[in-house]
Amino acid sequence: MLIAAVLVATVVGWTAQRLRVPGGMLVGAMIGAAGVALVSGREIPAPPPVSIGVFAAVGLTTGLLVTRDRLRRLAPLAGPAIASAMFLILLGVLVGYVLTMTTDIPWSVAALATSPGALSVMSAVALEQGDDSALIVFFHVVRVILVVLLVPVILLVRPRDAR
Amino acid sequence: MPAESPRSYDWADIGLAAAAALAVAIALYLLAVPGGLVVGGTLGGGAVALLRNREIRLPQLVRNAIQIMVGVMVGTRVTPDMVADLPRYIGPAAVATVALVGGGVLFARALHRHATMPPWIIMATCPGALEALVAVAVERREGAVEVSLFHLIRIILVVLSVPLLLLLV
Repeated sequence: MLIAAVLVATVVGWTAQRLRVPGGMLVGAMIGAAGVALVSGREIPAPPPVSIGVFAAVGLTTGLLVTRDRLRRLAPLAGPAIASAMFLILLGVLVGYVLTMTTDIPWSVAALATSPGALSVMSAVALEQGDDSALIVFFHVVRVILVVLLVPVILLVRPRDAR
Repeated sequence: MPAESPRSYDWADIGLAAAAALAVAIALYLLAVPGGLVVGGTLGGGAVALLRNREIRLPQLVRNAIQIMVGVMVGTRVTPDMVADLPRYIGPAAVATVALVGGGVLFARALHRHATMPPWIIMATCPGALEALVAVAVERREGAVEVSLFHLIRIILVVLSVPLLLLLV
């Protein structure tokens, strides 16, 4: 059954990517696999060695982004870049806390769902922690789609003398 | 040589990076570090990339396979109850995103005011959609490299903050 889920996930993921859906490969694969799981009516767990390999591979794809050349080019921007990232991470924590207080979303889900980034990383972390990974992925998909849709608005509200 | 030819990749470096990622991931997992597998993979892969002093590119096929497997592992946990529940979370998810985007915009304006940052700063402080924002920066010829570097830092710090974040849970 896992093989059937992987095959369907591959087809739907590839199609979503071709249609330029944000995060299309992961989101499409999730939808395809969910379809198989719902039709079969049972859980289809991945073997633990596969899970471990996939989680490490998600980390690997992020780690390989760090090169000495990039760090060198980043040096003059390091202060603002780190400050910006830290601000967004803390804001995400705050938003997650507010969601926990005002909705039925548990803190364990909200903390990962409102993190400012990395759809595949947060999906893998949610799976690793055994949290409600589908809801966490849903939040991140909404985030990516909304940011894309908001780009024209974001450009409009640039500082006046920076236009 | 075509970009996706198997010969255009350094398989020895890829193997080394994958082995290091797996080793550190398993070590952190055994040490019960929250999110240890993902964080360990990042640290192991990043260490090899820095030590080799050159970019180690994974084939698109491999990157797609990783994305597909994450999608499969999430998707196969979906139940009918979850599907019925998701629509009511659109509002909270949208509010959370607008708060993050708004925060990013305010932070960009503050940086501009205090450090006279260039126009691309508004795209650099967005919470996500790296590819779309870099595409816009390229189209407008405004700091595409700088925007991508800001987002790289965001992604790395998000990964590194995971253990701390999970300690709060």
